[in-house]
Amino acid sequence: MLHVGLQHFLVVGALLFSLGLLTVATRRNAIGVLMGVELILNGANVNFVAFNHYVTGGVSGQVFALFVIVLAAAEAAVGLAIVLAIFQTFRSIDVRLADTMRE
Amino acid sequence: MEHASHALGPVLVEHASYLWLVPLFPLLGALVNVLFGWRFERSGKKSLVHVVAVGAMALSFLTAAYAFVQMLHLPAERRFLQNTLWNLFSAGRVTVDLAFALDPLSMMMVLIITFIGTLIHLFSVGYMWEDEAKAYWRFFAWLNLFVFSMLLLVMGDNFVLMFFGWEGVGLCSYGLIAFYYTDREKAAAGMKAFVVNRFGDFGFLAGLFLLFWGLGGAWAASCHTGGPSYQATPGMHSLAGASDAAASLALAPRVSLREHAAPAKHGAPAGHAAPAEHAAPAEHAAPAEHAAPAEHAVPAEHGAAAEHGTAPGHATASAKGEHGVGAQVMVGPTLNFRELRDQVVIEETGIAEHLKDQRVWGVALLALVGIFLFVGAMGKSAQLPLYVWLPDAMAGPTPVSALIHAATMVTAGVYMVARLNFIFALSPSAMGWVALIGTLTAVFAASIGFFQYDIKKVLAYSTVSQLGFMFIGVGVGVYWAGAYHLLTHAFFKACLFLGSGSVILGCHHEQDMRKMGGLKKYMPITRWTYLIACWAIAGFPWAAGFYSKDEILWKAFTSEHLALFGTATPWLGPAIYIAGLLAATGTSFYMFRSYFMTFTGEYRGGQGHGHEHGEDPHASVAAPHHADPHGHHDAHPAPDPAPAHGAHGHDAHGQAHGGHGGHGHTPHESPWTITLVLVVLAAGAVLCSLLGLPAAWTGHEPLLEQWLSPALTAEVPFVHKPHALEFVFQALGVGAGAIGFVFAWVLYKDNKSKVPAALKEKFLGVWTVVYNKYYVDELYDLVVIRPSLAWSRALSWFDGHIIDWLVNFAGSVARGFAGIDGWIDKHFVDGAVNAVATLTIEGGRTLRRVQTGRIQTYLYGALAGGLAVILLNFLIP
Repeated sequence: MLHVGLQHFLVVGALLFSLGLLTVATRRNAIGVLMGVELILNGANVNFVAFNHYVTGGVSGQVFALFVIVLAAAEAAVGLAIVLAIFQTFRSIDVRLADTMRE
Repeated sequence: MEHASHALGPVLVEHASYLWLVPLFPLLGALVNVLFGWRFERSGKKSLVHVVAVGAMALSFLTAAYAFVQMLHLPAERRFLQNTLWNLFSAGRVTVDLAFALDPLSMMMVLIITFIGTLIHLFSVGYMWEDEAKAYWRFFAWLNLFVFSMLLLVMGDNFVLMFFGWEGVGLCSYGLIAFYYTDREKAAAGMKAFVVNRFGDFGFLAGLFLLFWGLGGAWAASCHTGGPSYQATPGMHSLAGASDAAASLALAPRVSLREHAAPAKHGAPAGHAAPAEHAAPAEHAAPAEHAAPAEHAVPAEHGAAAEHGTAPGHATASAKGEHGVGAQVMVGPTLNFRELRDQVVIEETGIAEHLKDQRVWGVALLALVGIFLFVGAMGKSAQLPLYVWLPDAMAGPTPVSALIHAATMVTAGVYMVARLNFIFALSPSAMGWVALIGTLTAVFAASIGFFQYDIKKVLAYSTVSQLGFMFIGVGVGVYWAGAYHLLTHAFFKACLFLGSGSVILGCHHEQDMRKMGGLKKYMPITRWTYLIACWAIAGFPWAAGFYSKDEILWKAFTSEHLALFGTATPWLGPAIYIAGLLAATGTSFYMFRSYFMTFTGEYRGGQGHGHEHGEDPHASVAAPHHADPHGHHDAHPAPDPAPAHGAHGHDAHGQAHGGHGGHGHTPHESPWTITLVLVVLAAGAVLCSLLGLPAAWTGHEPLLEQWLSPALTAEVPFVHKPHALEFVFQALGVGAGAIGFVFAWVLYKDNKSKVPAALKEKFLGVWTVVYNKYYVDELYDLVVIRPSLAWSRALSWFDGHIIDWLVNFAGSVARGFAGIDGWIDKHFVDGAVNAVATLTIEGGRTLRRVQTGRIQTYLYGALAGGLAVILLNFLIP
């Protein structure tokens, strides 16, 4: 019987983080980029909770995770509003097209 | 011979806070005319110019007269008005104040300057109104400025102010001689006067420097003997007056004071000759005595104490003069006449002894000082050999000649010698030198006057000659007579000059006496005043010149104080007398010659030289009086009583009243401003005689001698001769004048005699030499001007060739270096700077590509950074 320990959680968190990062780095669709950000945040949440459970005890990790979730919701709202504004400006939500702030 | 038997006290000062007004008025007048005069003239208010100028002079005279009245009310020994305005500068222990002072001598000068100055300003109104120069305001501005400078010279309380005035009058003299500056010759005359005066000023300055160099040692010595205990004791700086001293005696009688008081009454005996020791005990005694009456003494002396508070470093010595027991005098560096006079005159200070002993290269310092100071007087007062500028100075307008070159400025030298009598009297050699030069000048200039034809030139040489007489006076030590001759000369010579001005005006700017004659018919007032002035200058009794000249010559004869180059010369006095008598004869001759040539006989003008008057400005003055249709009646200030003026040479006028054409150049009497002045001056020339009636006549000292005695304290010994002899000498003087008069009468009366022409033919050689003024100008040309021109040409060549070559060479070298430097700058320095700029630009151009604006590019960057950090974390242990 495989015992589920801290390492497993950390691997899951790291996977989530890496996939999120990959998504953010490669997606052209702004919505996809936002979703990648969600993955990164949730990877971090997994780490918070796991460390709290296995290492420190108490509830501070969980509270941190909850804050991050709230933050992610707010971030998603602001991010989607920005995406909307980008769409209205560029008639597209391709992040590569929104490059007028270069140089 | 007893010498300096009087013990003299310090000068007692009376403060008069209004003295500064005297020079202020002419200065203001000059300023107003400089700033606004041309506007007055342009806007048709030309008369404002002379209202300002004459008004300023009149106010100045009234102020001076007020001072005179105040001085009259003071006791003789307190006649010294002083007015300090502010401190000009301090250098070490020397302080120089802007301060004015009047003692009887400068009071006399100030009255002459302001009174005769006012009259001459008034005269100028008539004389200059229609002048060709069209610079009425410039004339009056200069004239007022001159009076200001002259007053500064006379009233200045110290050498600095005197020198300022000394230079100021020279400047104004230059400006007025060269008044008609468009005429090259007249402009050159102005320059000549200025340059010759510079020679004199050099001597004056050298004399002053030598004097102070000599005094410096004395002052240092006095400090040494004085010691520190002399300094800054309150009350020591006060010059206690007689009343104060009496008060202090009454309140705090001290034996020591009485001891010093006693000898003063009987004249200081020789026992008190050792000054340094003597000063010390008196000084130590003084503060103690002054302690008691200090409360009483201070208010009265407050002014004096405050004034001297600015001179901290003075040691003081107690004087035992008759003016005040316990009177004190400061010993220390000073440029103030009064303080210097106190220090030199009061024997206890030891200054005079110190000065007498000093020698420069084996020559007595005081003789050198006197000679150099007199060189200054030579320049200003036109003595041999620096007299040459004065005859040429006649190029200026006639009022200028009268005011500056007869009455005031040229007497500055005489005034200076009289002012510094206490210095000159210490050195018989200096006095002999002054008297000798004066004598030579008197004779020499008189002889040139014999054959001049220009009426103003005659008067110019006469002035030089009379100045010689004044220097005989101050040279032999009869200072008051020198000053008296200055006074009488101011009146009669101003009268003569203005009379000649009137004649020149009347004869339509003709100055040649050969073209005059018979003017007594046309110009009665001018004629009589001229005759009275001739009477005065020739030295006949009841006109002033007699008294001053005879006093001078008499004292010269009885003088035995004179020396030359350190050796006593008892023969010099009588020699001066004989030469002076000759000069007086000559004076009488040439003055009456000028009178007879001008006023008697037939009028010789107006024939055959009408063309000369083509530009005569006076024709236009004359025109309005003939009711002509040209109508410039308006601008004529002075009612011109002229009977008939010619318009000869002016075609337009000539036709308008052809009836006058026949006697077109008829002379005419001058306007009232001119004749009034002439009458006043002639009256002055007579009335001045009352001031100098000799003691042999009246039994007491002449009024002027009494008046001047507080200022002229130097004691010069004279041989006592009986009064009878004096009468004989006066008779000789009158005889000399009479001989001159008779010769002039015989030779020139009515200009009929053929003798002058015959004599001229016979002695043509002599005549030519004298007529050409002994070729002195040519001599100067040869000795001074040509060498200096050659020298300047040589210097110019040196400058143009050597100096310029050096400068150009240095320039070329510098240019070569600059070229190299420029190349380096262009290629290396500029290259480096440009390279930095290029690098920056290229770097920026490259780096800005990083900024893509795409969010994911930045993310790659962040990732790469993060990975690098992690990698580094592994790589670096």
